[in-house]
Amino acid sequence: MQFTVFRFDPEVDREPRYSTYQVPVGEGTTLLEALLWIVDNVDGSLSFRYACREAICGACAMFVNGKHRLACKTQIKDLRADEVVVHPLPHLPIIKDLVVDMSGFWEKYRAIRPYLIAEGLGERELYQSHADRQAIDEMLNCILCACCYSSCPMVWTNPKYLGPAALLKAYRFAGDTRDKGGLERLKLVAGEDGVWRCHTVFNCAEACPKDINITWSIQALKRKLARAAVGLRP
Amino acid sequence: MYKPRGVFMRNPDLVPAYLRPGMWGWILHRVTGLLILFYLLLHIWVIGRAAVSPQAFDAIMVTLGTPFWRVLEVGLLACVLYHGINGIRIILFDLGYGIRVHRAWWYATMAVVVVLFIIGAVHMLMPLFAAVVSPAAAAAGPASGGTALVAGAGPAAAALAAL
Amino acid sequence: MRTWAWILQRASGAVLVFALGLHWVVQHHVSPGAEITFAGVHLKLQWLLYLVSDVLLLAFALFHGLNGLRTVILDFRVSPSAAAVLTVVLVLVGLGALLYGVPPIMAFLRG
Repeated sequence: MQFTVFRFDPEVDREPRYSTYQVPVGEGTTLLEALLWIVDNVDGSLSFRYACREAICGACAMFVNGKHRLACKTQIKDLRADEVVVHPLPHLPIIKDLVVDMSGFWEKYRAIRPYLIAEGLGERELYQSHADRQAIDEMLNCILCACCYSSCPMVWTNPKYLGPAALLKAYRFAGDTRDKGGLERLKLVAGEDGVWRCHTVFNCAEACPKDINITWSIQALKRKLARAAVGLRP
Repeated sequence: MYKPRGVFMRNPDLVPAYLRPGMWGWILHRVTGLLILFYLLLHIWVIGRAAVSPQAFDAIMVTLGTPFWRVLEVGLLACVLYHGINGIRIILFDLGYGIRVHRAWWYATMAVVVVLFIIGAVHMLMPLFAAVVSPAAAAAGPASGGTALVAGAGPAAAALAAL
Repeated sequence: MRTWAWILQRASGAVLVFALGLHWVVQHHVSPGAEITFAGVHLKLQWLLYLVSDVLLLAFALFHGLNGLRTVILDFRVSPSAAAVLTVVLVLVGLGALLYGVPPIMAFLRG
């Protein structure tokens, strides 16, 4: 199978280039295994991130054959293609080859205060009903791989926009019955760079390798803010 | 560090991933919205200039009745229909309906827009075709149609006036 | 404030869909003066409903259009001070267009 891989070495290249490799693939070979085979057998200079190999860490997100994918859970056979074209996540600054600069992404993630705001944390258990926990199941599935972030046209044009992942996590806490952040938490996403930049393009939902409908959470935040604005309980 | 401004444009591979229903819905909403705003400002300006006297207004209306402007008007109908009906789709998303089935809602929106557009466009362009095929029929057409409308308007007008 | 811009954009949009529907019904099915001439429009505007729908359309369409334009521009990287200037400019454009747009309607009304 032919692999065409995006390359950029900041010490040598001024513009990106592509390398092609012939990689043996069998039943069940994943993209990550194929990339590791290249590093082991052909070209040790190829850089990419990976860690868990089972789609729970979000490190190996890349853009493969026209779609955002996690390299570890993508099987080459499932691509149903004669060639595999591997790009880094689009629209993010590139450090080297498939390794992108995630600093903006993490900065925005921190901005929404991604932790429980509650009294008595660590002193006692915070109880939650099964139904209340289920309401945020989908948001908890997010592994912060930045596929949604790099697919959102608002992120492309406005680098200050918090982006889908941070907003999804904002709802993960705003929708958590144990969280007491309330309006204070909602204010973090209410500005010009918050939820109002979302225009329900659904690119994030299309891109998510964990099949999370991120737009749903962003819309839920908008409704909470609108209810607060007209004096209803958010 | 490489800032990939051009990557998106240079690699056709990257484009189709984004041209899904939601993206089309958004792009078309933007484009039609900006076109309608442009039309609105133009419309206010033209009517403002035309309303100085009955002669000036009627002269401009004769110009706007020519086929070129009629066809542009059909374009306006397309923009307004799309923007309005897609706007309803957006408001429903904002109220929390249909987010899980957003692709189906986009196709439904387009179906409604296309059907209404075809009906509207046929009505708007019919006089033009009639004028090409037989000028006499076209001249007779609006007159008789007008009477029928006025005749049919009685009860409806009374109902509206009562409101 | 941004929340209200969003809420009012939806509300004005809904009003516009309704007003356009009303406009169309009145225009094509119930109003006298089916032809678009000065006299015809004069005749139509005597009709309160038509006058109201016309002024509603003008005011709401201007708000909806210019507020939408503001959203489109702010989707790009715009500094807060530039955004404030933009808001003032758009408000002035809107008021200007309204002041320019209402007198013609009144001219038709007088005949």
